[in-house]
Amino acid sequence: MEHYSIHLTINGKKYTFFVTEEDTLLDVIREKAGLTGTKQGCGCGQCGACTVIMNQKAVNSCCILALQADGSEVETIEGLDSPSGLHPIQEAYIEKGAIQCGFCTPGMIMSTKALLDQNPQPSRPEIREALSGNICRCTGYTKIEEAVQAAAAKLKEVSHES
Amino acid sequence: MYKRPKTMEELLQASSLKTETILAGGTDLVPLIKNGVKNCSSLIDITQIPELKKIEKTDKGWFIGTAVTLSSLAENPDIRQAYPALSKAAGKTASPQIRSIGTIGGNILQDRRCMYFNQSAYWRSSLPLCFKTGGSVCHQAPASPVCRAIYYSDTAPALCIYGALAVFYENGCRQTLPVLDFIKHHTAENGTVRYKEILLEGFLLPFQEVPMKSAFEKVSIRNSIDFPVIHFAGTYLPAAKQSCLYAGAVSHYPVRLVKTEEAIASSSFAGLDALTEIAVQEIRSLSQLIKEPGISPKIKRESFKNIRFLFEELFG
Amino acid sequence: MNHNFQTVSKPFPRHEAAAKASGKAVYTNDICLPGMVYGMILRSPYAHAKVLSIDLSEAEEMDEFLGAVLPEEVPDKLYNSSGNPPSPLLLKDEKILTDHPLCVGDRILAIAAETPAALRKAASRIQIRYELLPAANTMEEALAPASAPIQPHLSDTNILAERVAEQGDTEKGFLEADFIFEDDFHTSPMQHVALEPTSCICDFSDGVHLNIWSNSQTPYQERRILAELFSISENHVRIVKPAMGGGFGARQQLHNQPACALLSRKIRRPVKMINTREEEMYASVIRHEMETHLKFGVTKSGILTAFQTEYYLNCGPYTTHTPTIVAAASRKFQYRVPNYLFHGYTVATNGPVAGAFRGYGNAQLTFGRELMMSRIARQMHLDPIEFRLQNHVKAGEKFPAAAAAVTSCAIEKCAIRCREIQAEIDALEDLTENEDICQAWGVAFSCHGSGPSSKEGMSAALLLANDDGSIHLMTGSADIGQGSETMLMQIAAESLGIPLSSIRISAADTDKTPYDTGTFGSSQTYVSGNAVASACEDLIRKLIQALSVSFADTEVSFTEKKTFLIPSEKKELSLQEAVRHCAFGMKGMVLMGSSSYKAQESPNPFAVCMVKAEYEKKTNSITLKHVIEAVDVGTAINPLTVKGQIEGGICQGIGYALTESLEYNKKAGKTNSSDLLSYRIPLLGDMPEIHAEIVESYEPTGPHGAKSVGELCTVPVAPAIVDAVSQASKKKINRIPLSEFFLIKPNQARSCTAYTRR
Repeated sequence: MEHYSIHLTINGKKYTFFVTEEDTLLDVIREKAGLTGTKQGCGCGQCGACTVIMNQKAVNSCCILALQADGSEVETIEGLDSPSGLHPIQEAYIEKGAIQCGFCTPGMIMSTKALLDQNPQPSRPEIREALSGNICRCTGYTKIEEAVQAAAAKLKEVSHES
Repeated sequence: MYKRPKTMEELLQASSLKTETILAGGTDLVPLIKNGVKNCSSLIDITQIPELKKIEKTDKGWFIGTAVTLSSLAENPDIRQAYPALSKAAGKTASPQIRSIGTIGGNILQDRRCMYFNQSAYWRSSLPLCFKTGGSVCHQAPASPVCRAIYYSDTAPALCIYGALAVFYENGCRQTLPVLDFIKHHTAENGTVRYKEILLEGFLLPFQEVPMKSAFEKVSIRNSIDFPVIHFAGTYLPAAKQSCLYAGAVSHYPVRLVKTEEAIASSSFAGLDALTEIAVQEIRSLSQLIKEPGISPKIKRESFKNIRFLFEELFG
Repeated sequence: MNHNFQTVSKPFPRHEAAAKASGKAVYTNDICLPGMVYGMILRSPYAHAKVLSIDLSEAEEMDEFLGAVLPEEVPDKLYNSSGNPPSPLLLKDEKILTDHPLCVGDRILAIAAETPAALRKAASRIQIRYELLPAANTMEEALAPASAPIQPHLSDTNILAERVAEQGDTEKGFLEADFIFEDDFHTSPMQHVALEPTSCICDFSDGVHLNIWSNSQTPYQERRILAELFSISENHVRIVKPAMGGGFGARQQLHNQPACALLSRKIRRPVKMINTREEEMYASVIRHEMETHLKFGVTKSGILTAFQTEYYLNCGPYTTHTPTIVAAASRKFQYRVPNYLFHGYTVATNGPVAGAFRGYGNAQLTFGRELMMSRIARQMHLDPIEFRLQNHVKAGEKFPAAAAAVTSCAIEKCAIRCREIQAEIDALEDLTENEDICQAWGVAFSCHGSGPSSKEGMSAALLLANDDGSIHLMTGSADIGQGSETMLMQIAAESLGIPLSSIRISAADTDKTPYDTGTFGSSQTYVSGNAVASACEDLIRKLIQALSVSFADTEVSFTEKKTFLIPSEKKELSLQEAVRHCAFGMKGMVLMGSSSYKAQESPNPFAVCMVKAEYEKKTNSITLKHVIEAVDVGTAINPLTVKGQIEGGICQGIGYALTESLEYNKKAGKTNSSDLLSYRIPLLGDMPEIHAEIVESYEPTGPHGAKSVGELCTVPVAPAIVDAVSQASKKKINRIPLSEFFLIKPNQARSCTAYTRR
């Protein structure tokens, strides 16, 4: 096992980490950057709990080696809210009751953000497709789907205001 | 050991592929590393080489670099226009997160899968080693002299119908092969623990005749994450009644449905039901089924009938 | 009914939602203690074996390897891991670690290392040699005459417990019937797949005090079992439940905690153990596989005369909850039947250990029963809903073999509401039947209890009034993700007449909060809720006393408007004003309300579920189009949460009916379903349209009229789906998952014309 230094920008902040070939991006985010909002549900890309946005795309951070991510820009759940308040997607999830146990929530919200960043007014089939890499065992997804629609509406309002 | 060359030259110099593993998206490889069937002691990451990441029009057709991600392939408007079945296949692979980073090269060079192989070292510890893990038996078919694991790549049949060529380096020499032949070489090797020195550069897709229709149809139990129960890809040139049909996830490699193509060419069938029956019989004769988790052999065989949806799209 | 609720019956977002939405909620794996190291259990890969030797030498060469606890180092005691209060039905049959594994995944030894990577490496260097022994992998094998007993100290056969519940004389009842209907049903083992893996951090490093952070549904029961196991007093064991990523019954028991605690004591460091998803799948706990034979007697006019069942649950090698699950199943027959005989069996096998799972025996038996009810109705040309309603118990009547009467029942309203929605859907889209497609509706009813049907539920609550009049509510109740903390806060706010924002809650920390039986049996609303309501009454009494003293007025009262009336001063004070008044000064006092509540009832909530399924004839495939479920849960304390429970319950029911099963692989001697690719849980893009409805109802014994919802709503889904699929495909189906018989297809655009009713 060798050690390598990698550079990551996480939520706009630059980091340098020392990693081995075995470390995953998730390990770095949780253990080295101390950002424990991102969760591990399965460890092999089958549940989406570890979803973060890397270079504008939703990815499963448990199945990306830290070395692969060298030089990337990463957004995690901790990057969404600001001193002025929660992000509209977070607000929508809360208001619509889309959060139960909350373990899938950070991943769901990051998949939602990746979708809405690229497609601000998605259709229902597009929402259903974009969030189908994330398992939720509690909600039956109904309120999650409503939350994504509500978030899109909120973001539209925000962009009209600004 | 981890290397991340920035140019083709650097890659070709750096790589002694006998001992090193090529890493692109890692969505197939990393879970195998975690399951203890692959190791990460020596990795060459090819995702920073510009040539391998491009989609470009050449005078011989469209070139798709091996490290192009499935999502950028699915979203590319030129590919969607020229090769809609490939675009759809890329967009139907795995989940959005996996498509974001998984590559077309990795999708084609993915390991064949089997419920005895895609398990943790702990799970497998109560059984003897199989062909794919260095042993001399196939748990699916103990009488079989070779591994019977299935090849599930969704993009493979779509590349096949367009007559794509694989462009690759073997022992340092740049070569091309029809993609099906390339896949057959890969999957034969992939039933063992030997590995050839192959470096895939990308795929060259010949220009298609304008009125040609093409389609891809994936049948899976869930709309995402799942590997296919079965998938089909086809092209159809109405004027010439000329077609090219493939079915996948039924054997070591995608199977071409030549008899069904002939039936279409000679119009020797009465209606869609009859054509479907011809295709089902042909897939049956070409398939080498194994037990897959959560899918009974009966349901798998019945799934062949879904080729009618491909026909509906091609002829509709 | 107008109860003029202020806080209850309103859809408040849950209080911890913002923390969860921003990644700030702290789950067990997010906690890091000073000096903490990582542990894991090494498990048997064989269903039945004897450990011949354990060789640690290669691991011990690693600097980062910290040690192991071996089977011979654990207390020589058998225990039962279930988080239930003590009961003769809980049989002691497992050890913390064993050298005689009885199932795949059985715990052999526990090891620790400095880092997760070193832990994995150490595990791969430990050699365990086994002698393989014959295993009984199925109930059929286990019940064969020659089969060796798996728990010989409990039984000479592999039937470890039996339960009979009866009323009347079924033989006579069948003679009185005009028609007899009988059949066999089978349901498959299912895994909970709470998204957060089973996790614990155990700190027993001083050898005296055991501190545990774990995702537990039953912290107080676990404290008791651990104190007994380690011969220490309960006040030396502290269990804290951090934010918790689901449970569904899986954490109504101890998992790795005893072994992890011993490991911590031995290496004198806090140890974190997080299960892998594979361990979760088949080495934690699952829903029991079931076999049942059902027999119904019915008169020409469609009246039930007798019902009889033999009901077999496969518990794996350890009984955990099984005898109580069997008993619970006997108490869910919601139809009037004079002659009733339930004969239930706990069957040991060398399969995965089964335990509590949302539905607790009800899900399995109701599957067969409700399919039969539909079938009987259709064969007799009766409407399946009318047939059920005609036979259904009403408030004041008793379930067969039950001691107490049903206290409230609005199942008819549920049925009416379902039919209204069905009619709306049918008006918007056709019920297609052509050469390619056949669509059909199916129906099922269900009931459950509110709190364990054994009436073991007990809870306490403590309310601290701060001197500004805000309230700190302390409860032992464990919110496992379902939203019970917010629900309890709403009950307190309503009872005290103060805004929800004035209440803060602390919950499920055995050092800091009062006893609660645990989060199981859909207890929280009814049992913990009644404790909170009762503690509020106590606080109000205390305040009346304090005000009486302060104002020297013996006529102080609490009004319907939730104010304190002080006649002598002609004053009316809100609770907060009253607290502020009483907090300081010469006659000041610390105001606390507390109460213990012991369940006297377990009122039944009811549900009706209707499903529209589509059968594709030429490909033998099925798709679900709509699921409607209307529930009678009394007052829905938080309708947003209740609807979330219904929708989530439906989704689990869909998985149960369509795809979820731990498929057994004979050659490997274990299940194939080791991950979330081979075990298919529904995804958003697979889901049919969900229509969750709450009908108006009021439970006289519940807090503000509430009953339970959690388990109820998942129970009728599988039989309603199979009923619909049977109608659409014209096939008789007596087993789930349906993926054994059909190709399952997601509800996607091609087969789904419109997304309606939104």
